[in-house]
Amino acid sequence: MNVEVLAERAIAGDEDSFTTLIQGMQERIYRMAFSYVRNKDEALEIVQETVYKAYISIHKLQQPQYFATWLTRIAVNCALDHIRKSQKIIYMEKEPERSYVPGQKEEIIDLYEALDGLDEKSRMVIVMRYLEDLPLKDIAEILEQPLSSVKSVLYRGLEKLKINLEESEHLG
Amino acid sequence: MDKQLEMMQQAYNDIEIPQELSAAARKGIERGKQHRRKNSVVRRSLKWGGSAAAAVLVSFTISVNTMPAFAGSLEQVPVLGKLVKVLQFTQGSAGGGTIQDGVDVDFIALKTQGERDQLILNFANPDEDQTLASSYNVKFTEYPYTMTISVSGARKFSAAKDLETLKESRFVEDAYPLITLDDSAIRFSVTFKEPVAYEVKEYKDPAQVVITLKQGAGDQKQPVYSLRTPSQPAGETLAIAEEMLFGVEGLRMLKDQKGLFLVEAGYYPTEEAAQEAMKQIQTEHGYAEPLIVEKRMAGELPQMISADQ
Repeated sequence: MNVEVLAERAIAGDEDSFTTLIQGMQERIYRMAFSYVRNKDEALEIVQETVYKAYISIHKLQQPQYFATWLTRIAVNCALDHIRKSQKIIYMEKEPERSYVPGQKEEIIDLYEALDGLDEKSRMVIVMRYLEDLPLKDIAEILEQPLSSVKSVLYRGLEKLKINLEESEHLG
Repeated sequence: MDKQLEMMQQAYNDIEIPQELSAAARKGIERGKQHRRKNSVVRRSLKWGGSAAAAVLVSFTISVNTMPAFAGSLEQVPVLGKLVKVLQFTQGSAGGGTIQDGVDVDFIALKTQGERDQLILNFANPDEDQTLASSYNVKFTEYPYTMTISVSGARKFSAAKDLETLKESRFVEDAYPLITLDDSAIRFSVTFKEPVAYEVKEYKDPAQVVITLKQGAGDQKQPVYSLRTPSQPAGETLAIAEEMLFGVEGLRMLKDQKGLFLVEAGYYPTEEAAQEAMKQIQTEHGYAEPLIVEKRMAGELPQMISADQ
């Protein structure tokens, strides 16, 4: 059954359809959350919060074809909320790690180091565009921003990313 | 650069999906369910079991009608700006305006012109020129004959003092503000002595909504059975009761004969239908507070019924 039909039913209050939709999206939400918080438990918490918020407000979704976009928007906001609440802790953990293991070559570190160097907005756009492979149009919908500003955020992010990646190469 | 991105993508795809993921999602759904139960504000429309309830809505559609061919009223009112639209009513309800915030429903004026009375709503915004009306809704209902106006994006209701003056209209029995938990909306109701015919026009430069009333036809003779809460003062309890019943067809807040308030969860042609609806609201909507069925005639105000009666 296609997503739109399921979303239509979910909006009308059908729980099974809602569950099916979530099952199809939960990995994406988890990966995105994980790339923000880098911690399994916290990422799971964000998934739970996202599903909860989606469940209590699904009736407000007017266009079923935007279910995925809508859910991603909720997930992004949940992740940002989560980060804001625990900002200090992350900051403290992050700093020593960076200075003690500079330029570690493992890919996983590269990913996070690179993402770390970005501001919140560019990070979100990069993750969605290159890691989740979402079209720019969808990203603009998710962030509720004009396509042009999403593009400029993306270019800014890429620019910065390039510099950061080069720097870490120098160090290594 | 592409290589870097590829590496990032690889790392991203390598993020391990924990086994607990499905459980976390399920837990989110569970919490959602609990939230709904606890709040009992099930914001989905009631699924009416039988056709009985649906039939009610048909047999009791509003009999007051909009006035046909009403041209010429425009030049009779000198203060007006440009006509934005004439409201088309469906089931007694219509709305217009634009979404704004910080609007003051400034004053309401009453004008009498021969057979007709006009209520003119004025909007003002302290921050900017108020050229367009703020988003509003006008709803006409019966048992008793009532017009309810709500304006969203309104933070101030200076016109509350003018509600008294509206009573000078030959049609108006009472005019009173309604309590609402939304601090960005104002609402008030006007009760009519008899059925009215109405026309509502919206103007800009300045922003005004003009409601023209004249004597209407089709006085309902049959009584209805109103499903309602006990009477109570206009306070938070009342507003919460309305919030809890959100989604019920025909929901409205009314003032009773003694000046107390009640929330009505629709009215029905027979007592049995009202009882059945009550059961449905209690079971499906999860409304646990007491409800009462009251018999009422068309032009009659609700009775004062206290909770312990």
